[in-house]
Formats: sequence, structure tokens, C-alpha cells
Amino acid sequence: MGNEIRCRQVSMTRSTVSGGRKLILNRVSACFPGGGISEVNGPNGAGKSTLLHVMAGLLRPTEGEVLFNGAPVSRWSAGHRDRWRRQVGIIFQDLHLIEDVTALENVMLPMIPRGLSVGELRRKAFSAMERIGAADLASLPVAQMSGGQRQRVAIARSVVETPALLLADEPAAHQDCKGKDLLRVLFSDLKQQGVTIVIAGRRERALYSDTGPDLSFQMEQGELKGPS
Amino acid sequence: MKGCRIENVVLWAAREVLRRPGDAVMTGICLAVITAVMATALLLSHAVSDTAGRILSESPALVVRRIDAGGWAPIPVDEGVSRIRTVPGVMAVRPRIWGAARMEQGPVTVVGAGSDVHFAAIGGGEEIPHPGPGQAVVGPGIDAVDGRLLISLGAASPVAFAVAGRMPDETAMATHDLVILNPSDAAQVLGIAPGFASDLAVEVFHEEEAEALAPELAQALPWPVRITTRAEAVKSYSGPVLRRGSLAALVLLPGVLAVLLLVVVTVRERACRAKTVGLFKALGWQTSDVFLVHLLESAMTAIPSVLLGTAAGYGLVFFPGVAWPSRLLFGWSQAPPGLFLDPAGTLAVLAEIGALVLFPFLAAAAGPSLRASLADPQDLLEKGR
Repeated sequence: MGNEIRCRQVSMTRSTVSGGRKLILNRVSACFPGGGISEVNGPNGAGKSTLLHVMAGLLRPTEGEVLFNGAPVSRWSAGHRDRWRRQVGIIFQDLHLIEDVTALENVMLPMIPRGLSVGELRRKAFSAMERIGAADLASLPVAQMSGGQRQRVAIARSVVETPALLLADEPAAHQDCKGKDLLRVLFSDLKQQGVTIVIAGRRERALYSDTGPDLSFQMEQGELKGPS
Repeated sequence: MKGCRIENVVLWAAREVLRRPGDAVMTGICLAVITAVMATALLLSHAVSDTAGRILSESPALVVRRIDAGGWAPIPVDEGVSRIRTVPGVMAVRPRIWGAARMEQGPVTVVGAGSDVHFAAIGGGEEIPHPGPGQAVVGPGIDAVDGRLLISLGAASPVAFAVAGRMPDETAMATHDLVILNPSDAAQVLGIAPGFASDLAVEVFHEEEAEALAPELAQALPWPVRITTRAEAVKSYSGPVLRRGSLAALVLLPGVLAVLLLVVVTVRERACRAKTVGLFKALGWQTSDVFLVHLLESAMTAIPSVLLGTAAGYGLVFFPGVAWPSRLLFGWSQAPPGLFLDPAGTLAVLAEIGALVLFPFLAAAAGPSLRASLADPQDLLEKGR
């Protein structure tokens, strides 16, 4: 099946405030099968978010490579990675929404340069918000929303164009039971469409159907263990 | 599809402007004021130079004036003309009667013009009647009381003339304080005896020979003379204009400094938007999309402001009756006469304003986004925390 993403001996070091280097990812190797839901669990600071950022092409690994359908996307030039990133939906832990524009405009943002008409942009953005039960928030500025509402806007933004790969960092952190139900349905639908989903965070049973995730990894101090 | 992409990016750029309306308005006002100051100095300098050049191009190839111990002296027409005609290379000789006289409102330049003089050349093609005996055609700066003028020379009794015509406003640079009279009236007002002229205008077969002919003309005449070529006239006029233009250019210095300050502020402000650039990139925007949206956002503020500033500068220079810019820049005591700017001059001014104001501002606004676009998106997102 397509949309397989693979990390091969991926290491990542970042500069520290004191001027030294800290190892965030240590020779991570894993295969996330296409059309499957994988979870990466682990405590805070284990390197889960950094792994997602490297997989999304937002950071270049210090060593190793990320392969998508066998192509070494982490080695590509910035321009090629920009284009490839259009196939990736990402839900950031920090959400990264633009506070002073409306929810609908935030959701439309990934599609602005993709050549759709304004009417089509609005229709798709509204449809994505409906999927996550946030249609009533469309005209509200993000600054006036609660944490859970903001997170729904960020989720809608990540799936406004059906991605090939969805990377979700703590997607249920601010969600109530209803929100988690909607997320579970959304992930299940995307899986049916062949989207590869990688969820990072604490284990959240409500996000999965009875059988749980297809693969489960454990991350500790930059090392990935599993799958189980 | 591509058309929609540009349309969407333009709409988002407009949205970015609306996100920070205060910033856009303040930046726009600053740019408009800076441009207006610079455009006024540049346009005035170019227009004076262009207008002078246009007028002097119509002047004779050579002007012969007789001099004596007291300064200028009238030149005997018949003898002067006949002697000059003997010099090979001379095509035509025309006696001219002109000089300074006085009216109640101040000094004026009196010129005698017979039917052989064509006003159309200086009148912008407009047909203007030749003054008959007792009549005058006046420049735009001359006010007549009840259609009559009183002109005198020194302590002589004033002579009255009826105003028969008025030169068009667009000729004011050449005719502002001009009073054109019948040649015999002009000679009477200026105290020039019959058969004498103020100077002789000489046309030659080949313009480039004019300078070489000057010594031969001087030798052919029995009196000491001063001969001025057209090139010398242009040089003597453009010298002060260039000096004044250089002084006017000093006004550009604070303008350029203001642009630099605006550039620094803009660069810093745009650098603070690294997080937004990182977000755009993370969501699949390409470097060209990010660059375009920032460029358009800046252009939406800068281009109308620069156009407004240029229009204001144009109005200050060319709107009749506005005196203070020329007083401030050139030290003129009254509103400048009507000025011209040829298309090449207009393009030069627009190019100078573009180079001094618009280009640095747009580069400052869009440059940092281009640089930021080359970094890893996550680094930019973390920088904005």
C-alpha cells in the first residue's frame, strides 16, 4: 500500500541555551505503514514532537533520512520539500493559529496558493470544519476561542485538503468526550481513504476503534522502541 | 488555476494589510510625505532646466552687442547689418530692440517686434496680434489697469499703451514680465534713436561654425562688440540653474535618511514575522508564495502613497500660484512662471523617486521574508515563540 513513511537511523541534535548540543533523536528507525494509524507514546521531552517535525520536513535530521514511498524527502532541496509538504497535514502541539483572523481563514490558509477559486476555498474550509464539529466557529476570530475550539480549528486546517500523511501532536489534549468522538470518526474516515496517520502523545484510547492503533511505539530520551 | 493562485495571494496580501491597519496608514503617510518633498525638489529642478533649455533653443545662433566705456551702446543698424553680411557663413541678420523699463508695479522687459517676428514660436502655436502704434502685447505677469499700461525709462515721463493681446500662461517662463511694443514705440520708450538697435541677432548656415565666426564678425565691425553664441547663453543660464538644483538636492538628503529609517524599521518589523513565514511554509506554501504575499502587501501600501506624494509634488511645482516650494528651494520671491517638463524629464523624475523611495522600501519589506523562507520552517516557528 502507498503512503508509507519510514525513518532510517534518524538523529537530531539541537543547540542548547548554554551553547552546547543536545541529542533529541537518537538513531530512530521505524516504518509507519501506509493507510495505518500509528501512535508514538512517551513522556514529555522524549522527542515525539521533534520526530513529527522531522517526518513533516519541517526540520532536517542531523543524521539519517526520512523516506516517503521510498523517496528520501529529508534530503530534498528546500523547494522540493515545500512542494512535498502539501501532501502532509500537521496538527501542532502549539496549534500555531493566526489569532486575529477568523477560524475559516485559518483553515483556508494551506490552500491559498494552490490555485482554487475563492468560493471553492471557502466551501472546502467550511466542509473541513463541519467534519470536526466546528462549523459554528467559522466566522469567529481565533483570539476569542477556548483551547478546545482552537484545537478543532487546527485539526480542520490539517485535513482541509485530504493529506497523504497526517501527523497529529497531542490532538486530543484539549478535547472533551464529544471532541474525541469526532476525532475518532475523522481518523477512521481518513484511514479508509488510505491516509497514513501518526499520532504523538499520551495514550488516548478514545481516539481509536476497539482494536486500537495499528502500531504503537514508545519513545524515551530520543530513542524509539517498538512497534508493539 | 494559476490565475486563482495569484488572485488568492493578492487577497491574502490585502488581508495582511487589514490585519495591521494602523501600521499601514502610518507607513503610507510617511512614504507620501517623504515622496512629496523629494518629488517637489526633483520636479522643480528638472522643470526649470527643461524649460530654460526649450526657450534657449529658439534663441539666435549669435548675438552681437556693441560696447563702450559706459557699458552697452546702441548699434547702428544699416552699417552693422551690411558689414556682418559680408562675413561668409552668415545666413541672416536681424536688428533687435529691447531693454529694461519701468512700470508702476516694477521693472519690465520691453521688446520691439515688427510683423516679421512670429509669436507662434513662443506663443505655443497660438495666434497673437502684432502690436500697432500705441498698442502692447503683454506677458502673463503684467497687470494692466483698464486695459492700459504706463511705461517709462528712468526719469522720463511715462508713455501710455493699450493692451492689444496677452501671451498664453504656458509661455510665462519666457514672457512673464514682457511688454511687446511696435518697434518705433519700443525705441522711443527705451531711448534708442531711429536707425539704431539694442543688438543684432545673427543666424548662420552651420550651427557648429558659430563659435568660429565670432572673431570674424568682431573684426568686420568698426566698434568694440561682445558676441555671445547660443551655447554660451545656454551655459550661462544653466550654470546658476545647476547650482540651485544642487542646493535643491540637499533637500533630498533628509528625505533619503528618512527612507533609510523607514527601511530599518520595516526590516525589523518583517523579521519579527518569522513565525508567520514558518507557518506558511509548514502549511505547504512555497518560498515564491511567501515572497509574493509580502511584496504585494508592501506594494499595496507603498505604491498609492508614492503616487499620492508624487502628485502632491507635481501640484506644488506646476499648480499656478503656489510660491513657497520655489521660495524655499530656489529663493525666488514669487510664484515661478509656468514651467514645462518634457516626457523624458517626467520619466527621469519617476525613475529617481522609484530608486530613492519605492525600491528600497519594497526590498526592505520583501527581502527578510525571502531570507526567512530559506530557513527550516520549525526553526522559524520556534523563533516566534
